[in-house]
Amino acid sequence: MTIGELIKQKTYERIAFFLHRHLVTFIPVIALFLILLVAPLAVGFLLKNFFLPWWENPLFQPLLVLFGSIYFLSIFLFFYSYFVTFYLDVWIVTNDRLVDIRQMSLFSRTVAEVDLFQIQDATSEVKGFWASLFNYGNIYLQTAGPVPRFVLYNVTNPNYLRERILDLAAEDKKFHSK
Amino acid sequence: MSIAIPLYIFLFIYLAFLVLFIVFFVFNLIHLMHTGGTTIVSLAVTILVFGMTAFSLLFTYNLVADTDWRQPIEINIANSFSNSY
Repeated sequence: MTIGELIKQKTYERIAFFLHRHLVTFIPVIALFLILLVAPLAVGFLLKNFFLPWWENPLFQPLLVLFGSIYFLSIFLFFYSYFVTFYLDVWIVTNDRLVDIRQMSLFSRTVAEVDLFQIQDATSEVKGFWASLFNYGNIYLQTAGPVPRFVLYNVTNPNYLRERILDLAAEDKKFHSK
Repeated sequence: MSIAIPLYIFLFIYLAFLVLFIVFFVFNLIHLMHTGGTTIVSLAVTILVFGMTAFSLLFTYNLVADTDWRQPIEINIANSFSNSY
C-alpha cells in the first residue's frame, strides 16, 4: 500500500512531508536488545561453574537448548514488534491536511486528521542533549478542529517543520477564504 | 513420590511457542505492508530479524537432533517439598 492510498489522497493534494520519529530515539531499544542478547552468556557461565551436575546431565541439555531457543526467539519478536510499533507512528503533511497515525501497540492504532486552515498555533520543542545534538524534537499544534491538539513526537528538524507547516496552513487559509 | 514426564512434552511446548512466534511475526509483517511501512529501513530490519530467527532455529535443530525425546524426566516431589522447608 502506498502513502497516497493510506490517506486516500485527493486529486489536488500533494504530500509535503512524510514523518517518522527520529531513528536515534530507537537506539535505547537496540541497546536493550543487545544486552538481552548477551545476557545468556552470563547465565551459561554460572550454570557451568556452579551447577555442573545439571550442566552435564544429558536430560538437562536438550531442555536448556529449547529454553535458550525460546528466550532468543522471544527477544527477536519483542525487538521486531517494538520496531513495527515505532515505525508505524507517522505524520503525513499535505498541502490540505495533516494526518496523524499513531500505533499505540501491535493491536491498537489511532488515526486523526486536521485541515491545515484550522491550525491556529504551532510550537516546536528541542529538549535534551541528544535532541539538541541530532536536531529532533516535538511539534505541538493547536487547532480549531474537533481534535484540539496534535503532537508530532521526536521528528527531525522541528523548527524548520513548524515554519513549513505554518506556511502551508497560511496558503490553505487563503484558499478557504476565497 | 516421583513423577516421570516424557521429554517430548517439552518439545510440544516448544512447537506451540513456534506457532505463536510465526503468527506474531506474520502479523507484524502484514501490519507493515498494509500501512505504508514498506521502506528500505523496514525491509532491512525484517531481513535482519528473519535471518537471526533462521540461524537460531538451525542452531537449535543441530543441538537437539540426536536427542531421544522418549526419555522420561524423573521429578521427585517428596524430596522437592522436604528440601524447601
